[in-house]
Amino acid sequence: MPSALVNIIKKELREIFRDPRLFLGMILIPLIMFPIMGIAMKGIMSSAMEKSYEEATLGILNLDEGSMADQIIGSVEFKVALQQYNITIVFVNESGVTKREDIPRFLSENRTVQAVIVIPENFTECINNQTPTVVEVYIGMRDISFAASSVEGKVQIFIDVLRKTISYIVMLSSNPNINPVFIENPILPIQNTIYKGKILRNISPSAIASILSFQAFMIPIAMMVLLTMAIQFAAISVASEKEQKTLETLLSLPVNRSTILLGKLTGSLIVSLVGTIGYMLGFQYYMSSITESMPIEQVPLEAIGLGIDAIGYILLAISLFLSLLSTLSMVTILAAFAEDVRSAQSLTGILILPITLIAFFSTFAISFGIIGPWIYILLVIPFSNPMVTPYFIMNKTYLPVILSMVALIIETLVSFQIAARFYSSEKILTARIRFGKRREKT
Amino acid sequence: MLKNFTNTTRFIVAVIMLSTYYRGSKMDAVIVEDLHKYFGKIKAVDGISFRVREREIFGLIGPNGAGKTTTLRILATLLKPTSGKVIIFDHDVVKEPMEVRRIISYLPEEAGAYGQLTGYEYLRFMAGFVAKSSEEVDKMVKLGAEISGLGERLKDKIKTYSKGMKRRLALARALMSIPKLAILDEPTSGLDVIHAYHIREMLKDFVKKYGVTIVLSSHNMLEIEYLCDRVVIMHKGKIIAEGEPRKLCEEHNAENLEEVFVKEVMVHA
Repeated sequence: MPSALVNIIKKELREIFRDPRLFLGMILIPLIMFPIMGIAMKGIMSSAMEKSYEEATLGILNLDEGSMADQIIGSVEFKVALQQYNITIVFVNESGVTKREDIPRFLSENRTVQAVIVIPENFTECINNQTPTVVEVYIGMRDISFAASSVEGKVQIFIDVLRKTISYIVMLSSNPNINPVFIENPILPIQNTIYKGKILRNISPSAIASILSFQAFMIPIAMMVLLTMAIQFAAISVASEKEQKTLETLLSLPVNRSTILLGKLTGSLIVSLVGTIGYMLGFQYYMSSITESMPIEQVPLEAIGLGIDAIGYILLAISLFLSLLSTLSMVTILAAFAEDVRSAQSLTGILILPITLIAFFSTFAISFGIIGPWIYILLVIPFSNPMVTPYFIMNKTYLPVILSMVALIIETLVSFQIAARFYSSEKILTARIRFGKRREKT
Repeated sequence: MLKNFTNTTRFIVAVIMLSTYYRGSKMDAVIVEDLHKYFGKIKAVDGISFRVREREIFGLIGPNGAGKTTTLRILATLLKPTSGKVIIFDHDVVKEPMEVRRIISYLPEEAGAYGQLTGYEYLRFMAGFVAKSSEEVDKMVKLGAEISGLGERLKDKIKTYSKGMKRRLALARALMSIPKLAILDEPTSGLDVIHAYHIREMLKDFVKKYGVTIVLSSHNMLEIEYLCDRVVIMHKGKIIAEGEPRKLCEEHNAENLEEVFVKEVMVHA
């Protein structure tokens, strides 16, 4: 024999999961949308990456009045070095291109050569005088896609190889006994970072910062999604009782009003959690699809003490639960004024707007390290608490979190009490706010 | 003849006669005394008093805005009186609302049901709040299914039901727990003639079979006349006539309750 609370929760879950508008719009579509976007992005990124490994043919317009360009670019060693990167070079002079003005026509007619590099008339002279020489590059952009940027990368490799070769030639001409590779890289730096007294070997501060800013971005967004979902479900849950004309019957039953309230809140919380987990899994897949093809420095967060330990998870869960309960209690009061679901959604927009703004503000502020008294203020506001608590948990500064939990408990008790009183009063039946036109009765 | 008996024998006879009298009479199921309910400046109920006896079908009639629904909502503990007293089976609706809710069942005029649930799920959900065991839930759902007369359609989602089917389900929900007092606001509203007829028959039988007390409101005078043992006619929050339908007709020299109703309302208009 289930208790009244379980009875209400079961009914709430049945109603939400069976309502195609709610299930499709708020759970299934976000769950499917991100993986689809991820698959699409993965496809685009991998095709772009494949393109960058594809063979590229670069044209060389050699206008050098000296012999240095022929000696360097025409050498077998230079061509072999470029072939490692799938780059083939052709001298366009042989195709009738003799001056810069011929290049546009040549690139539009010739589909194999994607870019032309102009070796200037004073190339040899500049090297001999040890003055920088200007090398112009013309890239044929055939469409607006990643293909053009892939050619750009190939041109950059050509320039690097050319630069290195010239440097080695100059160095060896002045002293045949020196090692140009050593001259180029005389020191090998190993970056270590000291964070909170711990030495983090071979990890740069920028690598830690990039991981932390990723977390700082992900967590508030996840919390924002969770809160807005929970708010909407709670508001719909109350308003639909009025819209379906079931509230009067429910309130005349021998069950405590606070049990009805708690049942509705718990139902909304469960569905929101399911929705958020799905949403974040999808989002995670989407992000990993993008980052997979761009390897970034991996930082083990646990090793550097930035991971979340068991105590952290417990504190995070408790404060999340408290802030959700407190926020949703307020929402149920607000939603009780709405006569139908549409009006409830309009009313909850009043709460969702500041939540979204706070989420974005805290995301950027934490990412850029702008930490000030504001973060402590946000910590004690129920609907902003979940966005900033992870920052303290990750930094293992638990005292502000524990203190904020005390504040949250008080706020939760007060708001739940107000909501329960409101539900016990006749205002729950008589309060009315309606948005939009009233439908005429037929 | 009593002269031949001793005083003791006379006393015993008196006690037996009194107890026989009281056993046959009905106690008050509902006592409403000087009830007022104001919404701001609007006097929805303005000092009404009446009593409903146990196992009686009691009707509230009156034009729109007479205060019938407000009175029923107060009886159902949904609204609090501005002043006055309402006692249901010895429980004060203001001081002991939970006790009252345990013995009543309320059917609102516009009672809806959860569209995403099936008829069976809805009855089971509602029974879950009243029943004390799983067996009792099953028993209530069985009786509810019987009262509704919806048969196999109870397995379908409520959103597929017609207005009449929803009303039958709501009425079944209100009666399946066999409450001590059923408060029914327009029980046959939205039902066609045949279904309304069956519901009326069922209500009469239900009272006989289970000894339930019913307070109902209706716009249908024939229905009230046929169903109710006693009625009150309400107008602008006040009671303007009270009594058995037949006696009211005789007193007003009217053919039916409809005529009584019109005459009384005209007098008080």
